[in-house]
Amino acid sequence: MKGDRYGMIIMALVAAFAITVSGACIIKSNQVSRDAYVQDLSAGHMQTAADLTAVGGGDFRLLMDFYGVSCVSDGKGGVLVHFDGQMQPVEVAGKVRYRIRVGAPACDGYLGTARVALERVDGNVLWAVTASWQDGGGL
Amino acid sequence: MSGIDRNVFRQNPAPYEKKGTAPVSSGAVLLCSMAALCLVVLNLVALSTADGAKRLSDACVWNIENYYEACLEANKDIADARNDGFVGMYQNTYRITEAQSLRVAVAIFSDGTYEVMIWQQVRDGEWIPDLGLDVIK
Repeated sequence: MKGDRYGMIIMALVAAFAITVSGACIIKSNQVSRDAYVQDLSAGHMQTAADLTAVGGGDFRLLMDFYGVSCVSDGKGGVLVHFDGQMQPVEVAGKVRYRIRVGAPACDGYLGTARVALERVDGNVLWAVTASWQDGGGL
Repeated sequence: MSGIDRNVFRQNPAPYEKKGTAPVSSGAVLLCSMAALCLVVLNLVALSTADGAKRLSDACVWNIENYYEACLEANKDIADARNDGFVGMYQNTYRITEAQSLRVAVAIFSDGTYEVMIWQQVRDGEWIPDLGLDVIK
């Protein structure tokens, strides 16, 4: 009788352990896959945002023309470009999952810079670069 | 009624006495353990695969970050040269990765204007072929 009871306990413990580990693995691998997917898809958009900002010399008109209505002012001198979960530009607020925030341009003498960051909709930054350009005097 | 008469329907009383405890053989325990182990191993393999994809993606992002970092360094140096009144061809190379650099050549004129002649990502690292894979034999 005791052997049966121990068998049941062992089986329950093993099953609980397996379910716990598997659940944790599934959650973690889903999160890692999603992050990798978004990073891959965002690379082109990040470069576009940084290059258009630099080419425009800190003027966002090129960027706003390129992304259209999904690119809006953030009210602090920068702009936001909204994306859905597949990193497609979107204009409907409810579908926004990620956004590229191009910060307000800063000028230090001849050097112009702007921070370009990919964020989750909750404001968590995934990765960022600094766009830079020469301020004035270009031929 | 005698004792024999009372127990006429209880020829095998064992099942009634062990109410609530089903017998578990060691084979079932072993089978369950193996199934659980398989489940864990499969999920670990899935996690490992996802982690590999993330590392590749991180490397791509790291390259892009380094490129813009090199551009920033180049722009800082050019801005400093213009501030200092440098006139002529400003040339420099900025490291992006171990195998790649950013080559920059900018003509700076006496009135402070400039013209970018070269702004190019070049491969300058040593090429080390991977001979560990037997692709063609």
